[in-house]
Amino acid sequence: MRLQLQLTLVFGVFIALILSAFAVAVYVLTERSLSAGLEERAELALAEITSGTTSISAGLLKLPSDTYYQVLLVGQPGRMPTTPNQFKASVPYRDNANLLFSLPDSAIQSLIDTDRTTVTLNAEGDRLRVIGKMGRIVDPSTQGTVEAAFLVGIPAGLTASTLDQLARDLIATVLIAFLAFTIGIWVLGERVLAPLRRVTAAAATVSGSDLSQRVPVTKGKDEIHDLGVAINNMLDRLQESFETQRRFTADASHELRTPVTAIAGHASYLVRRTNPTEEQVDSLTVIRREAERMGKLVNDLLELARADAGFAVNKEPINVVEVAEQALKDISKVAGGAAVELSAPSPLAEVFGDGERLKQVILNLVQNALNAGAKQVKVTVTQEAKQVRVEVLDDGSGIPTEALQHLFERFYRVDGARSGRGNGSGLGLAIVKWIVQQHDGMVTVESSLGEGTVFSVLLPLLDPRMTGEVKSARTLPTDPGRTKRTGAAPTVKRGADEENPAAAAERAAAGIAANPGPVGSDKN
Amino acid sequence: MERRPLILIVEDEKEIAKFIDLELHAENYETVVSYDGVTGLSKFRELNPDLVVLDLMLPVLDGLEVARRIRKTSNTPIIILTAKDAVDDKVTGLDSGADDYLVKPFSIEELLARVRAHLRRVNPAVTGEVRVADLVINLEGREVFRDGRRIELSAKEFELLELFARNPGKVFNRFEIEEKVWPEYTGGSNVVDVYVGYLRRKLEGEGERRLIHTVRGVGYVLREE
Repeated sequence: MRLQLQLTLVFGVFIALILSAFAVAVYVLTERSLSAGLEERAELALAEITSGTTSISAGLLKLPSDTYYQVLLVGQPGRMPTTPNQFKASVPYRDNANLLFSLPDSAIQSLIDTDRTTVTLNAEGDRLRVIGKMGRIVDPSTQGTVEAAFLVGIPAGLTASTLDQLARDLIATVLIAFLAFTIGIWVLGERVLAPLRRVTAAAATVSGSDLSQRVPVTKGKDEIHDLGVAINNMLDRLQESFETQRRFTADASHELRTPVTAIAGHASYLVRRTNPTEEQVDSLTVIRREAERMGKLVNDLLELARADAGFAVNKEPINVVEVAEQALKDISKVAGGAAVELSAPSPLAEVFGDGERLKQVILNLVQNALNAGAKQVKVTVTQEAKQVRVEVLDDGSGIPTEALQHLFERFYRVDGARSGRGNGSGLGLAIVKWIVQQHDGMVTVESSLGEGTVFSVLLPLLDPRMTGEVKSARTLPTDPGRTKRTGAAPTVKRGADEENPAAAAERAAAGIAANPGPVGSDKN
Repeated sequence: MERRPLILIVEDEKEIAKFIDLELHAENYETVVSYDGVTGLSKFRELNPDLVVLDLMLPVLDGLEVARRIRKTSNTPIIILTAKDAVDDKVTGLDSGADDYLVKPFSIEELLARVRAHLRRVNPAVTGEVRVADLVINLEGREVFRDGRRIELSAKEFELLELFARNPGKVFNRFEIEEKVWPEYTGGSNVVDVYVGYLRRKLEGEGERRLIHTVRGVGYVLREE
């Protein structure tokens, strides 16, 4: 549940309880003091009358208004009735004594015994509080002292209407106060939580790739301000550590590549520009080749370091068939005696991807096959309904089933043949996996020992909407015979040694190949 | 006798500077080597070389700054060498005024090929160049420049552009193009349209005018209009 709602509910219930308790208390206390007040005034007036300090008529005037009173002459002092019945019988004017006759006997007995009584009557649904007190008055006719009973009836209805009004006022007040509190808490919650929500939203947008963003810091020295500052401090440190890693990558790259470049460059110079003996050429070639291998290892490590740092690939619409052609052209230089073929039924299989990196995927897979001692490697690129499938099939030694699941782990090597030639860095397939993942694709492998291995890379087909261009349909008449042959999927041969040397040199000049052939051959 | 081209090498790693120097000498170029940015810049001003091979990470004054300062006064080709290959670094390098970018470890053959290509570009008399408006296609060096900006093309993209460049103003239909550039395939795909799209995107990358035009119902043509 949202915090604001929780707060409002909890406080609402709390406030409702407190207000209700308060209202009940007010009601009860008011009721008590109201009735007690009336009784007290009645008692006081009676006390004054019975003690003789005030005249009867003046005393009676002091009784609370709207009370009933009756003064009953009972008899001479010393000749008091001793039972309620005698008491009732002794009253001379019965018509005026209805208050007395409605009293229970126990109350009358109490009046006889203790000179006073207090009782609540329930007559015809109306509650009546009756206070009785014995006193002596002077009989005006005889001038003698007469025992008299003073009875005051206080109707409960008197306080009831006041209390009803009070109850209505209390309920209204409580409701208004409850609503005001609840709305107040809701609004306060909104005011407190809105900046918190902004901070949360901002923090959510700060992703691994954009650590430079900061959350908004509110003005004032409250907790939200502190939270914003704390998050920003955390982001500063996070960005700093990412920066450090990025710098480390760049520095390490420089530090490792420079000596490797120097070693390979000098060895290459000696082989090509001086006149070494055959043994020296062999030795220098080893130096150059190993330096280049080290260079590749450094590149692989950096590639994975960048992958870990969340480095994204650079995508554009590209033709995987051409990417594969380029890859095979590159690999033919190192294929040795192995035959590497490309087969593609159509010249076009478009994906939205990074050409250089996809080329690396094919290079790594073919290199992997060559390392496994394959004599024949077949690369197939086919465009399917929703994806482009690249298969790399070799006739190498195969991979044991138990090794398949570890194949894409870093520095994993299958014992025996796969590491036999030691050309790989142990990172090639991990890089393949990363690149394919970056393209929202998947890579799978099937293998049977002694027969060979097939790697399948599936990449999502280019969605034409991504390019922002509407591809024109072919407007030219199509020769039916030609299209039919397309369906038969002609295999395009790209043998390892088929490359025309002049064309290769031309490409070298274009910066595509780096063939260690005689320099200047592109001038032909 | 024609003067031999002078190449300034600015590289603080002496072992690398050394073999580049040796290789360029072997290719019959004059060379001057300096080991830091400030010396490199003063050598440049003093000697006015034909081409500069410039390392990015240099003491005193870094390579990007050297490139920027050279570019203020001169159009001499600059080839940057660097151990960094992140895309941002490439962009910064090229934005600073460099013409080309090689990542270590590079192969010396590639460096030599690029040196030749850039020297040819400065000296167009000896090149097999086709120019259409501000587009320069170096058929021999397989290089393409638009408004001085080097454009990287894939092999097939270049072959397609070359076909147009060798026959400027000629309208090709799709079958002709497909037969020449994709001889190993038979028709039935829209590979030509797709590649014309690729070429246009690269050639018009900075909002330049269109040079490869569609001739409705026929095909495509390279011309200035």
